[in-house]
Amino acid sequence: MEVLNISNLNFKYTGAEKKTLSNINMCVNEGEFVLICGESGSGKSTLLKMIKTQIRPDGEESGRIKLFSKDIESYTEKEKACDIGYVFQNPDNQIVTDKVWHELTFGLENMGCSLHEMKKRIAEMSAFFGISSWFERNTDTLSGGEKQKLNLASVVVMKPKLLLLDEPVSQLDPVASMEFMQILRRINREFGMTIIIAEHNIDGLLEMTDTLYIMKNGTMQDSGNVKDVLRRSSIFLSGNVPAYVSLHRSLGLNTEVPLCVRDMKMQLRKYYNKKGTFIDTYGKQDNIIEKDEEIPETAVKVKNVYFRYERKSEDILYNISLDIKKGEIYSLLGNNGSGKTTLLKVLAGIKKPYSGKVILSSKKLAYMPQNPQTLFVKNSLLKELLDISDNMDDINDILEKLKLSECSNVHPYDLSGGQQQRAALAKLLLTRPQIIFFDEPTKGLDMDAINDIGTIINILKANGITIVIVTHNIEFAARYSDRCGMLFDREITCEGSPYEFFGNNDFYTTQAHRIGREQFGNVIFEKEIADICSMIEK
Amino acid sequence: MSGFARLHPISIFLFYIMVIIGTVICTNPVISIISFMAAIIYRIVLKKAMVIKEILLYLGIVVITALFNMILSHNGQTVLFYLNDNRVTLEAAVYGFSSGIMIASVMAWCRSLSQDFTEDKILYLIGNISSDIALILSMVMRFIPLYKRQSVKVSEAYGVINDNENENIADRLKNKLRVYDSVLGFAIENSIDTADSMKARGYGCGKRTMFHRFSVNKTDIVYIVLIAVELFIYIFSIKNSTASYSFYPVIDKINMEKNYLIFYVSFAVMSAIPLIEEIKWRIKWKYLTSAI
Repeated sequence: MEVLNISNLNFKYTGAEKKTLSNINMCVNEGEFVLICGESGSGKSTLLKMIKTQIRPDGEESGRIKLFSKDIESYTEKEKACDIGYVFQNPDNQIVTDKVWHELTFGLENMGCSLHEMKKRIAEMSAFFGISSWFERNTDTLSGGEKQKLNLASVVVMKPKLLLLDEPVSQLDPVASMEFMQILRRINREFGMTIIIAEHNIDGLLEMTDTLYIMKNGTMQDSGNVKDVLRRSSIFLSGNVPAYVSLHRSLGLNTEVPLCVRDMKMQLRKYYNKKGTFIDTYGKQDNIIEKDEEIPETAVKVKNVYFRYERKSEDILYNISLDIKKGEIYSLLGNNGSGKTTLLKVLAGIKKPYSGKVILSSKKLAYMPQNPQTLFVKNSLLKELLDISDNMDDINDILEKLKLSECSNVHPYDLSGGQQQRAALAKLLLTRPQIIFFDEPTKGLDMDAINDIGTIINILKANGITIVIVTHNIEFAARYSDRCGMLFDREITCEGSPYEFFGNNDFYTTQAHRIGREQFGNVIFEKEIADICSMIEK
Repeated sequence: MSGFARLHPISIFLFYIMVIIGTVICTNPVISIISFMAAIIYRIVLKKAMVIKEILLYLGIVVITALFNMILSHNGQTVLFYLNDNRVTLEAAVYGFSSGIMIASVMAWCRSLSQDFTEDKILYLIGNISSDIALILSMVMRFIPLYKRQSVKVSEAYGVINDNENENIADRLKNKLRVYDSVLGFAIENSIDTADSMKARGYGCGKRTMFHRFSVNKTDIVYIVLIAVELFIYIFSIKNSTASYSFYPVIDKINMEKNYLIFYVSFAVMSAIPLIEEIKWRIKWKYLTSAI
């Protein structure tokens, strides 16, 4: 049965010059798992909002949207609210009430459900989601992943026939995001609920997807079966594909597109192992360069630091010692709750350790919080920067360097995620810091925006600025840092250059290393595997 | 949770309204003392040794009110002594003492009230009148910690930028204002999402119902009837001037006639409801756990 049919949909925001959506056609069948991907600004969120009519943005529209072969406008408000569920990107903002139970019942209350019916549905939902024990908790005490799970549960409890999700995992850490995807998979497989999800980070989703749509600049580039579309059009996604897909593309293999690390690993074995060469040219190269240089001075020195939030609470940091050299990019990795952010705050002097010492080479520090919005106070980017410095030359210089010159009069909240990150950074750079601390700089960004940040960090490094990053993003840490450290059980358990660090890890490592490790040794980027393979070809 | 707090919010609400208003309206010292005793014993049963500080505070209030009234009020016939040529009378002392007990018992009841009458019960009662007002309250309770946390984050981030050790009051004020500005912007921008999320889940589609987990049982009905009977006797006694009592010019005698006794005893029984319920619950619990 056809759940959704969109024909010739066009949309232009009020006051905008260009169409955000042009000529979109879509047809979704019952029980289908649909993934719409594309970089930020490609119009995927707008498309979802067009389907969920209650939150349609203002603008000119044309075209038809049919739900179960009936025009979507012919449904009553109640029917539309129930039949189409919508989960938003930000886990915090979509929570309405203070208690978990109230949040779960909110939609049902709006529908005028009877008490008995509400109790039954909530009991069912809590059991399915495994959240029964949170029932009495305040929504404020939940972690990001738990919040998003609650948001999903409180939408699914209304029994939607079509579930729309707008980048639901982009704000979550990898573990929580995998967990969330698995729940989606269960909802789809066990109940046959039709799901449309928009996401730019598609690793982990590909395996459960039936139909893939690729959007670019408001148009539908391609659609169809996942493997076919990836083969034909993964180029439109530029960097936003997982390593196994891009490796498959760059090797030009004529085989089925792999949808997980395993598939690619098997293909490599099959097509490149029989030629019998084991090449280990990569690896220790970065160490050799280091030995030639003289030892740089230390920028951040941490000596036996202990930290806890309250006198009677547990230690968050326990006997941590750390040396970060001047002009180095240091990445701190680790699980959620391992104390990474706390350590960063201790380094930046926001929190004081109860024992031990933090010695910094310079007093000129900058701290980039997880949410760049934290640094915005004014109603335009230019005013934000004038808040820090009066020197227009400096401001123009920085705007240019960070590719923000065109948006100096835009309200900071109206910038895209990547631009917000750069805008906040521009503000910090005006204070001419010598050491910059970044808390999750890649959170919620697409690959292009992440690479922009990486490039900027490298430029800063070239200017002798020391950079300390806390991140969940393994690929980012491998690509851009000089050294990585892993925080586990209140301690830094391993530390080293990306090759030493990821090359020695088996599980906590880049996708390329997981794909190629057993065959080619210490490779951590897909480009290296591609190079080795092309050498084998010759 | 106390045994009394397990009852239906309506019973709890009616009880506290009756006992607090009943204590305040009536000047009769017998009623004040009954109310005070009931309140204190309930506090002791609930909080055990933790309550000692609290009781000292109540006694302090009684003593201070009595002293103040003795010094400030010079009515009454029985002069105890003269202070700076002013009469200090027995009547003023007793009146102050009685009012002190009244104030202390209202305070003690309010403490128990805040413990027994939790936020979900308040929301339930308000929601019965208007579920929209209840929702707004619930949203406010959600926003307060959210904005508080955001303001901590903002001041932390700014603390690193201007790490100025010798900043003056003007600088500090400017920083505070900046934090306020930033959180305000954050609140306004992000509440658009919240509004969308509410619309998406059908807010405003029609009449709302309200989820709750309370049910009225037999005990509730018994207590509600008991409170109603007490209310009836109370009003009747006031009309009958059985409840009235005067301290000036001479202290009235404590009357122990039949209709007076009914007034006192009915008030005492009503005031003991939470205590009875708590003890009943404990005995039941002990009995039940002994079977595990």
